[in-house]
Amino acid sequence: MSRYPFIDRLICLAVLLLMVILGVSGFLPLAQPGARIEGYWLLTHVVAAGAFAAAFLAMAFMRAQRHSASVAASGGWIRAAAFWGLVISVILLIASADLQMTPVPDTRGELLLTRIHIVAAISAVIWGVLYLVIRPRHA
Amino acid sequence: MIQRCAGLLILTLVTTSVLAGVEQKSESWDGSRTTPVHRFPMYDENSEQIVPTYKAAFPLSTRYTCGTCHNYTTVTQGWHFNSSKTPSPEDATAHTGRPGEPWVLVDRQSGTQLPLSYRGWHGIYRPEEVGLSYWDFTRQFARHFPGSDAAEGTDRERDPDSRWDVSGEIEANCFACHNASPKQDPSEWAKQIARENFRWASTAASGLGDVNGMASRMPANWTIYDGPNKDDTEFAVAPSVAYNTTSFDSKNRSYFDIVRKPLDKNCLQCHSTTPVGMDHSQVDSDVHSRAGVQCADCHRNDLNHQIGRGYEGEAKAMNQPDRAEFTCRGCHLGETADGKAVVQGRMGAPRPRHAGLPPVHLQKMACTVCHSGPALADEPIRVRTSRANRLGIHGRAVWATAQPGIVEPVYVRNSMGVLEPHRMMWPAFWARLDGEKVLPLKPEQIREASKGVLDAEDQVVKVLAALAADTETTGHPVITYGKQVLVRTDNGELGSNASGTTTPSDTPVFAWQDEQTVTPLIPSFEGSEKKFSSDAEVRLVRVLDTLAPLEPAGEIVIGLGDTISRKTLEGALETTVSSQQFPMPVFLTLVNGELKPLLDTSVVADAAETVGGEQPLTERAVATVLARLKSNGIAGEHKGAEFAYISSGKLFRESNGKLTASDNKAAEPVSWPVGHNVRPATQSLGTKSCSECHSENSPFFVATINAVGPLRTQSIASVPMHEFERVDSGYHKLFGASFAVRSTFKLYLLAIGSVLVLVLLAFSIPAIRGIASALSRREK
Repeated sequence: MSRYPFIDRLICLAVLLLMVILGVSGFLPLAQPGARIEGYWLLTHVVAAGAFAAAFLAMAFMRAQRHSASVAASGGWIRAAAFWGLVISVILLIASADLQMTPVPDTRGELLLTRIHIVAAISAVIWGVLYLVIRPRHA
Repeated sequence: MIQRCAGLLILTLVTTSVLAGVEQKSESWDGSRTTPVHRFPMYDENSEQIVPTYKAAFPLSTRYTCGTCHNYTTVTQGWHFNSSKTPSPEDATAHTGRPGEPWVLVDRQSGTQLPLSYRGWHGIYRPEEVGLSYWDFTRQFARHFPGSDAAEGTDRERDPDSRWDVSGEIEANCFACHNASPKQDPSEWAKQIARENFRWASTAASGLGDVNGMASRMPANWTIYDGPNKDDTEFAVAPSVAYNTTSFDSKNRSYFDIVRKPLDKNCLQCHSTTPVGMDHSQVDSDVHSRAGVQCADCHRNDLNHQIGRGYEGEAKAMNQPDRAEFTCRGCHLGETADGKAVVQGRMGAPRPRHAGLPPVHLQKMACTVCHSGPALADEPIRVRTSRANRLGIHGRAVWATAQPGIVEPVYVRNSMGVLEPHRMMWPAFWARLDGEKVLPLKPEQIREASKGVLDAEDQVVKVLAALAADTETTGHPVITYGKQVLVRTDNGELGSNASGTTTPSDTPVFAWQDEQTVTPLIPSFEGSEKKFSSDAEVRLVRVLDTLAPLEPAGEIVIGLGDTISRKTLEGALETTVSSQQFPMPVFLTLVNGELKPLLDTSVVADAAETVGGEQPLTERAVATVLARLKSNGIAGEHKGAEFAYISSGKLFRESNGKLTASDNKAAEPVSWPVGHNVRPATQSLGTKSCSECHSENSPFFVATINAVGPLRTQSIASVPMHEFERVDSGYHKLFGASFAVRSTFKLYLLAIGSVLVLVLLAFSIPAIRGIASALSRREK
């Protein structure tokens, strides 16, 4: 259990809420074929992404120990895997977004990073849902 | 009989098949990459071989000279020759693709700047809509026209005033593009067109022969078969050609330096665009030209002369898939606008990295947005184009005009939703209003209806032209008014060479200018007697002689003080006392005992105000003409109808002697996409930083486009750039503002990402160690 359960739950709730905002603003504009994220959807996505990154970092700090290998070995390894899968996905999301904004990748690189960003986002959603659905046995 | 008919039929079939065989043979390419030497006999329009020593030789005909080997009919189906063949305005877009530069009918006096084209592009009038026949169109624009098309005068039945039989037709001028000889002279072409020497123009411009005479001065019943005009050897001289016999060999063949791919200089004669006010030495050429790529390398064609225009979507619009390769995207990225792969790197085109540029830019904007035209400034700049502003015609006369006012770059979203840089101009014309319809009037109709109002410059020019007939005095006549020295330019228009050497005057002074010295034509009396010196008397008599044709119903006299001086029958100057006072010396007309100034001070004042200026019309003058049109109609018709003048993006109506401005669809600007000049990559938009466009006040989104027109008025259309771009300005301001914190945001994300990686490593390393130790225990 966390030493600060209220803050932990609050951060977790914030991460969940921001993930929903990011999911909606990121995937909804892409629902139409050939469409792309732009306009106010894009602005919302970028602002939410900044908040999400901070919230997620806080959550990672608060829960990393709980899902460490030694604890996971005692039973909750699927949830731990979901947690670390989520961490890796978020790292990829941040890296792909950040790299896209640098004058490094060429057009092909930009397109590759966009694909990575989308795949990482889908992966983050899957791990996130898994993490949310699978409850620890003692809970 | 049947046998004879059958024989004739067989003979015809055999002849046709033989000719077809010959034609096919000559049309097909044998695979050699060389250009054949073009030493060949010349033919005239009767398909007769030209003998250069023959005095009555006709000018050469490209139809029969070039057409001997190249199918003339096929050639003249091409883009440069087919505009008038556009089927109908309704389905024109399907045949004419992306809008191109229109022809602009410019008439300074009436303030007309009317965009015209047979192509049926949006917002551009078809010439027949404004009453222009092929003859009118050819006279106006053939100076920058490659011939054929409307210039072949196929509508002569519809225009009884046309003079095609005198001038001849303008066949496709193959030499304008394919003659690489330095003798090829576009200015000579323009001069011959101005003289209506249509059928002679290509001969003169190619340097093959010298053409004299003017078809425009010949009577309407004259034809080329009539030969020289024996009644007049000075004014109405019939056009004729004197071939340069040294250009021909003993077999009467002539050598032409013909190239398959036209030289860039030949293309640029009609397709130049330069910023106004920029010195020639400051203008860079297109980056492709500097890399050795010729215009025709990309804008290529076969014998059918369907020249590729090089825009994305052309392949689909013209149903020619191979066109997709010859676009910016085709050569440089190796793909079509739809993302299909094509041959990349043609002509050594480098593949751009576009490092850090979100690919959305390549989808929503044409390449030309960042790479073509003048660099983005606070406002679009004024440019002049060859065809609209009559550039590239050199000689004594100044052909180039400041009007129409064209600005670029204006970023406009096209019908496919893609942003393109455009050149933009605002139509200016007089019109009759019929309900919602705005029906343009011809400049000639307005000139006629506005006599005495809009023709101040013309009136002054007329007097100066008459004075210039005095060839015994060196220099040229001028009229000084205020600080202006009004002169007649070489091309017969009013000019000003404001000089500090003259004393400013508030009444017009007729004078003679030699170098910088301006001497009044009417000197003061000599001594105390009211008498001119004998020298002055001789000169004034000569001046009165030259001015006499201006007033055929009376005579021209000189008013000075309380005297009138007039020429006697003996050719002397007689001075008598007048009841009127003339504080300043002045030329007067005397008709039926009534004295009037030869030029009203108000007329000279108006001319001095507008001379050389871009805006020849004042609100007062426009209101006066509109009121006159309403009461008098046009040539007696449409009396009481409502008339309007369109300029600067507004429609002006007259009400109680004043003008009221309103918005109207007919006043909206017309624009066409910019292709060139392409700037080097280092000068592309966005190279310095994203904030060139994405900042709160970037002109890319917030620049104001102010309409340009011939009317001096405060009521002009001002449209912010984002309206042409069809984007949400609020969003782009917000998005632009976000770029102020973008660097911080990138660092912030980098920091969070890095810490997350450390967290991952911190917990994954013990896990890896645990796995390793578990494995090693099992091994034990």
